[in-house]
Amino acid sequence: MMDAGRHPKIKVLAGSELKSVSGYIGNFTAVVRQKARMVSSACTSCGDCVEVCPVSVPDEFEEGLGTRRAIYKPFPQAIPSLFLIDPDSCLGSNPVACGKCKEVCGAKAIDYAMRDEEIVLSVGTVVVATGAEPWDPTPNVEYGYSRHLDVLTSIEFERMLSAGGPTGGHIQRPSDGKEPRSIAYIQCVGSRTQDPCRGMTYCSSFCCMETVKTTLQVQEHIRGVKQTVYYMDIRAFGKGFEGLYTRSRADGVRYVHSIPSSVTRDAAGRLLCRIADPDTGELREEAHDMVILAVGVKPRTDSDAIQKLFTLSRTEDGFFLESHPKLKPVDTPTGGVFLAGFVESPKDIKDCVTQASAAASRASILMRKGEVTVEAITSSIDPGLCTACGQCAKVCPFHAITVDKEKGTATVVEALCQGCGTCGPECRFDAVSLRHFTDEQFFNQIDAALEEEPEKKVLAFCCNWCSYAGADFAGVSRMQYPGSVRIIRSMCSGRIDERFVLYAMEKRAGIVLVSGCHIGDCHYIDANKSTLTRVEKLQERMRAAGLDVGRLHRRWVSAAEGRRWADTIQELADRLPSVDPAEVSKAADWARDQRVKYEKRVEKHREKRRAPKPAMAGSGAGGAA
Amino acid sequence: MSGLAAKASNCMQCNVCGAACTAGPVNGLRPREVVQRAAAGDPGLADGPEPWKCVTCYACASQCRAGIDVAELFYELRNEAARRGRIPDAYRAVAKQVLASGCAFPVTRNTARMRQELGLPPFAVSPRGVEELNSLCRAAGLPDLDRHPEAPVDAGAPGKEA
Repeated sequence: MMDAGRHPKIKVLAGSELKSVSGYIGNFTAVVRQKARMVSSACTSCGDCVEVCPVSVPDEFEEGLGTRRAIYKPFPQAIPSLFLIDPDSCLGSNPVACGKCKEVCGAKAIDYAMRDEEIVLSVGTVVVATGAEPWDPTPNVEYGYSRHLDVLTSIEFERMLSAGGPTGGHIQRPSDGKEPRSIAYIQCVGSRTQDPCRGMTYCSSFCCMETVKTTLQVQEHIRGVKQTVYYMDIRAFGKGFEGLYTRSRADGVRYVHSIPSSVTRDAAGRLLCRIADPDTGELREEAHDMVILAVGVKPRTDSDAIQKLFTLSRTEDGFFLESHPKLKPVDTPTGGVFLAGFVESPKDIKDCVTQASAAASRASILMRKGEVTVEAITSSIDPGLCTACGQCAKVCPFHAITVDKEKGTATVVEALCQGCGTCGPECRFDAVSLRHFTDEQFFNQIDAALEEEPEKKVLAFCCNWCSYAGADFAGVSRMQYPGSVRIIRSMCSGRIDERFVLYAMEKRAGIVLVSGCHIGDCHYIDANKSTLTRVEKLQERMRAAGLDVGRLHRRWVSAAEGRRWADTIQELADRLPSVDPAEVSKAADWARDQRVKYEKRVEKHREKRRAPKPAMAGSGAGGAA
Repeated sequence: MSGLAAKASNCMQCNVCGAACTAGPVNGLRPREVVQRAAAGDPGLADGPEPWKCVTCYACASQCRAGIDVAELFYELRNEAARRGRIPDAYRAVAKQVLASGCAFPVTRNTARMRQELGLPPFAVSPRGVEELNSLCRAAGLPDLDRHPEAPVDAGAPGKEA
């Protein structure tokens, strides 16, 4: 940390908050609000101010086990090495109230009038490493964290073990200050539970080894101490971890495969852990002097704000989603933004350092090159047809479309566009097209797929990343499914315009299937939510027109779900014989009417745009010539 | 039993149910073991004394990390045992009592006197009510209570650990 603080090319903005980010890869503009320290850089870190400050509040860094003054340094190695004033607890500059620190400051560094500053930064790449929050075990009432002083979290205990901590590295029972003779650890507090009040469903991954390490440390601190670890599984999977676990057991630490149902306090002030013996099932209460709850972590409560700032995706458990779990583990769907540490998932120090190094490398590759190659598949908007209604911009998962109401057009920022094409189906005037996946290409493919016996075909629109790959997987796994399916690939199911489905109906396709990634798995953040609403809307319209909705299906199939794909096609193909030809004709007529209506509207719009308008003369927007 | 196995398969064997169990200290019930056997699909589970040892206090279910309603599992095991005709005599007697009078606890002379003292009218379930209860129970699939199992069912009474 000191090295980073001293590095000529690293600027550390402590006590700062990111207010907004705009732009795209290579061209981000970030507005940062730097909180007023009330102490200028003239501070020499002498500490005279701390001695006179009359205020004493719980120290956040010491997890509340120690106290700090209103003027303080967050922790001894803090960067920059300056003091700061906590405005919430400071009594103020008024000499009647206080102002003592200002009086004693030889460097004249204290300035109560200092205000928050806004800094505007131009940056090319961003690494998001905002961390996570430890689980607060107060709701796990059975362990009495808020009732018994001697029940501590693993993080509080960590501070107690630190030589620079509130007790100078001496282990003491908070209730009487005596050295404990018996310490219990309860694992998985706040992790691996289906009960949302008790914690999260996932394994927080670092707590087992943290406990193993702590037991070894405590063994060195207190001779002959008894330690018991209550666990459901010990996960010692990293390099050298199994060795540490073995050493801990060899040192006499008891590992008991049983989670206590309650922690109570007896008359002598000892803590009783009620457990069922893992072998005999017999119930008993084991007495300890201290109980340490090995707490897990949860995503930060302000994750929503960070997610919005960078248009990121999150997994079900709330951590940020990487671009690809194996091949792009530090990239995000937003170009130029990378992830490191707990923000992506809980992990231990070594993994955090590895990921941070990887993110820094990924970012510096881009910075070093100075230019990026963008995908050729991007959307484009015909300014001659665009009315700047902004519908396309609304559904764009990457905010790649800017709408200029004054000019009357929307434009695609190609460096931001990832090529999902979900904007296209939103346009009522056919102004949007996706390079390499144009409307014409789709119509031609539909024509070809339904050339022969269309009533006996299942026409499937598949997204490239999940459903098409799922079909591929079914194939390479040699799974059998009917050959009556015809697959049309798009980058994202969000590209599938209802006009494509209608055209397939007009061409008498037996059954139409729109298939994409599961909700939350979309490779374009959440473009498949548009697929969902569009298919539902179309089904609603079909229902209103008295048509059989059973001929249009929407199914999510992931790349690993070859079986699901084969089963889906089998199920739909089995329905084909029961499709009524009269119904097909009825739907075809209806679909043709819809197409003609659409074409008429677009043509009318085109003509309106072509007609010379005095107000627009010279703008060239109409391309009338 | 596959439904039971699917529910129980979430179990991580953390044993918190055993530590919370209020019946265990009295009759030696080991809920962790029962869940494990249910997960393994043990067909003999419903025939043993375990289903009847539970006092359905739900302490296990309220603490279970894996989201398994352990007490509900015991109810399902009891239903399975009943379907096999393996109902312990005490439960059979209570069921018969309910079907005959509409009350699980009979109105004794003592309760009648207490009701009188409290100024409450005499109490009895009407014959129509009893008939309705009987038809409801039949519709819900209550097994034949007079079909006795070949061997008496061990309900795991206290002090008689199996």
